[in-house]
Amino acid sequence: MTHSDRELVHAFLRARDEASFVALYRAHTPALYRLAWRAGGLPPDAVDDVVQDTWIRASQKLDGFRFESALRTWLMGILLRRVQECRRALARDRFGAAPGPESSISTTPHLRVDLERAIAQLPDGMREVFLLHDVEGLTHEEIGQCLGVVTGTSKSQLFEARRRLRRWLVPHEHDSSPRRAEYGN
Amino acid sequence: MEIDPLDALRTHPQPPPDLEGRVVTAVIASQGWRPPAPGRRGWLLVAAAAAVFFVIGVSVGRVSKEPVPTTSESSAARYMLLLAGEVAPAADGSSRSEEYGAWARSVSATGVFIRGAELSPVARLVGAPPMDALAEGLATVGGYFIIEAPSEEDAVRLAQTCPHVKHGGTIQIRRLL
Repeated sequence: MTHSDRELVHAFLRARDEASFVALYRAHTPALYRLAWRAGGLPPDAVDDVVQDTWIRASQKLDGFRFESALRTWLMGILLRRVQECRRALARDRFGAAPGPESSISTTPHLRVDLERAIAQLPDGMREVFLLHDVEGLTHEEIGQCLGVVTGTSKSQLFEARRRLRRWLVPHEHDSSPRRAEYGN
Repeated sequence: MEIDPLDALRTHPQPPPDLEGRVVTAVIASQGWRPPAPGRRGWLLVAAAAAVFFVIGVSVGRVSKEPVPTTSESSAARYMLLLAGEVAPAADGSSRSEEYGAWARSVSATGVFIRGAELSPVARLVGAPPMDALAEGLATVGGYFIIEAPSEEDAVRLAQTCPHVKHGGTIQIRRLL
C-alpha cells in the first residue's frame, strides 16, 4: 500500500466523483489490463469487460477496503475472479472460440512472442502465479491474498511455471520431441 | 531466461484509449455518482431518433457473436434492450440523457445488473446491402441496455419502466445466448 494509493482512495471516498475515480483508474488500470490480457486467454473485448467489471465491483466495495493488503493486490484479486468467471462463460459459449494474445502480437519480436505463447500454455493457476510474481512483482504473501492460496502453493506453482517455461523456450539438445507435445500438462 | 522479454511484458499491452471512457461511464451508471459534464460522456440515447421500427435481424446476429458478458453472482440470463424509434425531445429541447441515466441508476440501485451506451447517429454497414426497410430500421437504433433478469417476462417488465417507452420509443428485447 503506497501513500499515494491511500490518498487516492480517500479522495475517491470523499468525493465519489468522476475526477477522483479517474485518478484511481489511471494509477492501476495498466497493470490490471496486462494481467487480464494474459491471465485468461480472453478475446480483447472480454478483456475490456473484465477490467470494467473489476472497477465496478471495486468502486462498490472500496469503502470496506481496510488497507490490509496493497490496493493493487486487492484489485488484482477481484480481477482474477472475474477472469475465471469469464473463462467459464466463454467455454460455454459456442461463439467463444476467440483469438487470444497470440494473434494479437504477431508484429512483436520473436522471443517475446515465444514467451507470450509459452505463458498462455501454462495451466491457469500456474500462469496466474507466474504473472503476478515475475511480471507484476507481487510477493508470495500478496499472491496468497490475491488468489486465496497459501504461500507454499504460490512458491511451488512459480517454481513449476518457470521450469516449464525454461523447458519450452530453451532448446534441448536431447529433446527431439516437438515443443507442443509438452503443452497443456 | 532472458530479461528483456519479461521487461517488455511489464509495459505491454496498454489499455485501449477508449476504455477509460467506457469504464467511467459504466461506473457512474452503476453507482449514481455525479454525471459527467454534458457532451463529454453522456450515457444515453439520441433524443430524436428517426421514426422507423427496428427490424430484427442482422445487427443482433452480430451482437450475439461477441463474447457473452459473464453473469455475476446469479444464473440469470442477460437481455439486450435495443432502443429504437422516435423519441419526443424534452420541452427545452435538451437531450433526455439525464432521465435515462437516472433510470439506469435506479435499476442498478436495486441490485440488478445493467449496462448501456448511447450509439452514434451515424452508422456504417458492411456485408450484403440490406433492404431499404432494414437499413432504415438499423439506423434508428440509438442506444442499448444490457440487463440481467431471471426470466424474459421480468426483462419485459423492467423494459416497460424505461423512459424510452413513455416518450414514444420502441424497445426490442432479446436474450443473449
